[in-house]
Amino acid sequence: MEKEDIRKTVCRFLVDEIELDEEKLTDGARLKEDLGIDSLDFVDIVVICEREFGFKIKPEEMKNVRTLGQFYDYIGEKLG
Amino acid sequence: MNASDTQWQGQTAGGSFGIRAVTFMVKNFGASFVYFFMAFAIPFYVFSKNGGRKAVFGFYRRRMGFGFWKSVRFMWGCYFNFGKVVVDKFAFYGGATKRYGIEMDASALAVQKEIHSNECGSIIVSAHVGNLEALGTLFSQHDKECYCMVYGGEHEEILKKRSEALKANHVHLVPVGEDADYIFEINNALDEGGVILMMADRMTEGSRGVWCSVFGKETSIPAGAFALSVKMDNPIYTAFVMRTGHCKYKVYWDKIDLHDAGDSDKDRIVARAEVFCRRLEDIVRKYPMQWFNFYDFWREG
Repeated sequence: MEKEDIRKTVCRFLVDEIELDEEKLTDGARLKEDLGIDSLDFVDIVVICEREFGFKIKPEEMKNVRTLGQFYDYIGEKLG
Repeated sequence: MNASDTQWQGQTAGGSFGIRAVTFMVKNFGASFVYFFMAFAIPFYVFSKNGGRKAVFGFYRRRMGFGFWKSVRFMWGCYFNFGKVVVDKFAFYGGATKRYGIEMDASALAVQKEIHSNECGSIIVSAHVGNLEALGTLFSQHDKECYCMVYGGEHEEILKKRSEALKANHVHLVPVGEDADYIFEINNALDEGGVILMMADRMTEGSRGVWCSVFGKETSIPAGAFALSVKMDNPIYTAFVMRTGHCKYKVYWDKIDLHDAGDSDKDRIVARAEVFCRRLEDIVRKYPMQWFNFYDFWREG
């Protein structure tokens, strides 16, 4: 999957499911500090990753994912 | 009123010396011996700055509707019961479990059997009532792994000792921090058929709440357990382990079984939280001196 497709899919669920403002969804936006994503939102993210991308997020893999851009890269790596 | 206004600010007390001392005394002299000495420490907790006596008294006066002197009596009773439960908990950590009996009726046994036979993971939601540590001994009988969420305020030594004692019973402590690592651990645990244990009667910093009526007044309770059940589609159960007598406990297990698949996630989360609140009320009315929350749950001052 191309990075642009990953970006579109992630942005769609962040807007539709977590009700974030689309204008704030920049690559450099920090997940917690800028987008206000909390632990319950991560529950949605875990579920959506499994549904849309077909893989399970492992705790150790997300340790260095702090921004939206890093999250896109992480998904890209998981999808190969 | 904001949800953050209802956060618990306390910390558990004690250390490894305390646990070893209590375990030694319970094993060699019996729990009554320890309760006797514990009784002298209770007044210090009642009158300490973070003892929560105003909140406890206010609960009996305003929520349970007791008169002044009945509220005072129940408040002291609550603290004494808490002391006994702490002694029992320390005894469990130290392995002195032979002196204790844990009872379950047929319906609780059926629920326990269901949880242990579930191929998918299960979520157990409870509160700071009775002595939930006793539940840990039940998991040693099966291969089910249990993951117990631990929130801020736990004394480090207590946490370490709990962790050591509970590991042998397939119970793992998962610290809930500001990051979301524990969510991924929970997801993995549920995927592997594990059991997640969470408390839902104390708001902590960063936790998202659900507004529910508890004992006739709205307050915010942690949404986590209910949201996990809905979003990850795992069954959820309430569990309370109540002290019924000297070294005796009874387990109350029950499934939260709602057929509401067509409703929105938000409505389903609220519905589950409401069922939990009703059951919490029932168990507290049955055992009114065993709710050890010790803080201003309704922010009434």
